[in-house]
Amino acid sequence: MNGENPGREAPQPPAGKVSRRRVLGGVGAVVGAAAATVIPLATIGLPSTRATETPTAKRQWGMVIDLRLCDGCEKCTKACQKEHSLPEEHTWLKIVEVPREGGSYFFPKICQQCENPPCLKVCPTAATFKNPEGVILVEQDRCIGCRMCMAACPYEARYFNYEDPIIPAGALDNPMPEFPVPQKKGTVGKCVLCVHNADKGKLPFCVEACSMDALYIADYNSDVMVNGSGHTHQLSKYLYENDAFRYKEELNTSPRVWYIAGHGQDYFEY
Amino acid sequence: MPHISSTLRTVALLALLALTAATLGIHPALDARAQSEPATTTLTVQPIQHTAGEPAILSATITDSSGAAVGDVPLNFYVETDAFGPKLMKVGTAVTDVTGAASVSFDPTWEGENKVTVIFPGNAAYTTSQAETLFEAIGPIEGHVNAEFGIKTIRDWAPLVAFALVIAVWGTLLVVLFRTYRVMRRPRPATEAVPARSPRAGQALPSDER
Amino acid sequence: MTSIAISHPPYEDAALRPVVNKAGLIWWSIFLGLSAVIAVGLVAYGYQLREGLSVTGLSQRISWGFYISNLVFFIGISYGGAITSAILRLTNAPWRAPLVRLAEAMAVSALLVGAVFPIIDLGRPDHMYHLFIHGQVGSPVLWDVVAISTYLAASLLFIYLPLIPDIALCRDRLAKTSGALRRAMYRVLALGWHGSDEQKRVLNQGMTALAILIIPLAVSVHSVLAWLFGVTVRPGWNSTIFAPYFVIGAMYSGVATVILVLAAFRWAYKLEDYITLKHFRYLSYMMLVLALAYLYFMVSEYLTEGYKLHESTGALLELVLLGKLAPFFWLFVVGGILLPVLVVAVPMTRTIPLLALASLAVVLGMWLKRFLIVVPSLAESITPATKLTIYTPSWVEISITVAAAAAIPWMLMLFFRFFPIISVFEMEEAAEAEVHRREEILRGGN
Repeated sequence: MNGENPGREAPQPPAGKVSRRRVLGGVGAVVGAAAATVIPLATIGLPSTRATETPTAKRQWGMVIDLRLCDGCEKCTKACQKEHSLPEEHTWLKIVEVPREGGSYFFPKICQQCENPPCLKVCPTAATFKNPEGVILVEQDRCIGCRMCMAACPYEARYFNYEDPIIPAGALDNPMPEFPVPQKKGTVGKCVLCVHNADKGKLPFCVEACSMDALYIADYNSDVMVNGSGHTHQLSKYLYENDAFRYKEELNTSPRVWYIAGHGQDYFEY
Repeated sequence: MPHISSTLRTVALLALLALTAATLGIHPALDARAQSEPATTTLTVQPIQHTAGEPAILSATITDSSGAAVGDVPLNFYVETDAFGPKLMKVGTAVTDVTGAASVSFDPTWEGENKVTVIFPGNAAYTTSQAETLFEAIGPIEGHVNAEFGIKTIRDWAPLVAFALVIAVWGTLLVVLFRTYRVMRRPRPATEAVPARSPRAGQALPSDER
Repeated sequence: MTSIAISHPPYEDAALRPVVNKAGLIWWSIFLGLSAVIAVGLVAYGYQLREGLSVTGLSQRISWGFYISNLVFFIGISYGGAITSAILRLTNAPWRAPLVRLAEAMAVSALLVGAVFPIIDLGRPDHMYHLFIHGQVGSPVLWDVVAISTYLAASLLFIYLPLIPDIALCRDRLAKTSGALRRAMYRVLALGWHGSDEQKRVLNQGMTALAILIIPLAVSVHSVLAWLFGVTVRPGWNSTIFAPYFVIGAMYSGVATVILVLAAFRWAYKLEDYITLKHFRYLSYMMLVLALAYLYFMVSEYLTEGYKLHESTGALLELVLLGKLAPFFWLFVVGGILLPVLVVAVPMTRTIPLLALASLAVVLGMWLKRFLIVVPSLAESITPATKLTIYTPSWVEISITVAAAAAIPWMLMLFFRFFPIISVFEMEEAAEAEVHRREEILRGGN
């Protein structure tokens, strides 16, 4: 029995052209309904962006590095690596020899503890965070090792643990962001400005180790800068009087590390 | 026997007199030059009154042992901080005027007790001296404020908008899936005939080229 | 009662041939060969899981290498499905009908492979759950995860919907020749399709909605991948046109992959009657336009960067255009853009074998180009601390890359063992649409 003849029915629009308007209308309705339900809910459960917290602690740490005095001895680098059990390629503070006319000078390159840090903005799990004193730290337990922060850092100041570090015998195995020792394989590490030392009233290891008086730890709140030999200056005055500059200032990262230029150098090529 | 003229004798006598006078130290400068040790000085720091929102004026006066003002010498002003142990932070240097007074302006960076130390470093003529005082910095004193970055409205709303869009997309996918599932599971109504595949469907598309 | 001899259209027989025929020696040798390659890749990844990323050629300066290039590449070639199925559907191009199943299946396989690479690249994949409980909305990595998973879900749904009638076809037509398990699978997946008008209507609505949805989704996925690089200040990455640059590149490599897959499976399963030179011509015209568009974006990038030579861009351009990596770059320009453009443009060379070869060149060239985007910007220094760093991929990275490439034909071969290689439903649709079109012309002519 031939009861099926699609041609008999009222002419239908060819398949594929069915009520596109209706479909779009339906989609639009879904979008609207979803948005109306979701936006109020989203205000409750959205993860926070820790980059925007304003620090409120008593101290606001920074650093001042006197390029007129650095002689490239690398005592600072070695002290930091020794105290944090770092492998040799992890130079949280790296002394760079920069050639200039008539010679070269030494530039200690360290995490700039930016107030507008790119690394913090791109971290997918908020493993990188800013502590109340303005220091950027890494919570190793949260780090998934995606290395997006390393791509984003303009100062090449972050280091990935490809291997397990060699821990000296008898060392504690209780890492925390303020003292991330030992480093965990598969996570990223960086200078922590030795905030663990600051709590005990001690200077960072690099500042202490510097024999040329070139490295200063600074507190923005009390306007003080101190170096390993105890030389103390009023921070704002010293920076002003010595024409201090910040590395890659134009990137708007607002670093907390200041450099005092000498030797006739002003800015780098890049 | 040569005659020493009376004029010559007068001049010699006068010269001798002058020399004696000079030696006896009538000129005070000559008096000081003749001494071998620098004089002691006394520094006094004026009491400091701080009002909120204003810089504190730190003043000091330096006098010598006889109470005379020592002018034209530099005084160093320090505030004690507890950055990694008590340390003196230099907040200014001022040169004393004729009255032996000098002052610097200082913005306190923390509320409460501030210990000011003034030190005269000393020079060839005077010994070093120092004095201290305390003053109370009145708040509120704002600590360091990070500069603002980003556009606040976008920072606040962009995540919500993105989140809503993602939920809307997933919602649409689920709606399509659900609608399809529902219509598939519905059994064929008894009245509807079995639709055959259109016989024309078997034809190859005539516009095909080889 | 007269029994109607059900006439099966010839394309239906062709579509079901790989499902019906028993796998022969050739099929098994290719399949086992691909399986072996994939197995080596799995072993390599297992080794990497145990030892960590130190088994790769990555370093402190070059922290992203093969895995991220592969991520961009494989997600990119999946765009062929979006173009062939979605865009051609919305523009009502009837010639797409024999191609859509192959294109969509390729897209889903490429997506599955590409979506695995961010996980392979992680230093601590066991901590990946943090992404879901502590995800940061500002992070391009999170945007990536959301975009890729949404696009994957949409693509899976997009291939499934028109597959339902085809599965019903298998359920009905192959009931006698299939084992119990296979029959059960067809029955479950067919969801009770019986071809009624209402079902067809709902199905078409769903497919149109998805086609509309999948285009902005596809654009968003590669834009988000581009922003992994675009939000940094590195020379070569610090560019505002990175998102459209990547999207065009993805479409270009996607269309080329569709041509390649079509050529391969057409030859293997003897689909010459349905996938004809016309299809290859149309697709390669699209490829030509996309090649020129990609060239335009490349020139725009290098010209504006090269004019300013901001920061260390000079050193980067020298490295890529004239230095150690120059042979690879110019190989890409000539072999990956100029030659394929020529092959498509010259009518004499527009034959299926040559077009397939040209597409292969495009696919390989685009992989090279992805590599040349990711690695040189990391190899060149952005502080005085480093000069040039060399990247040598290890056997682990190479095996995993080759395994990923092998996984796509492997998945396709397996898929078409169970499901029709030509979308019978869409062929029917296209035929009916053609009939209606002619009827309207005839009516209008009266």
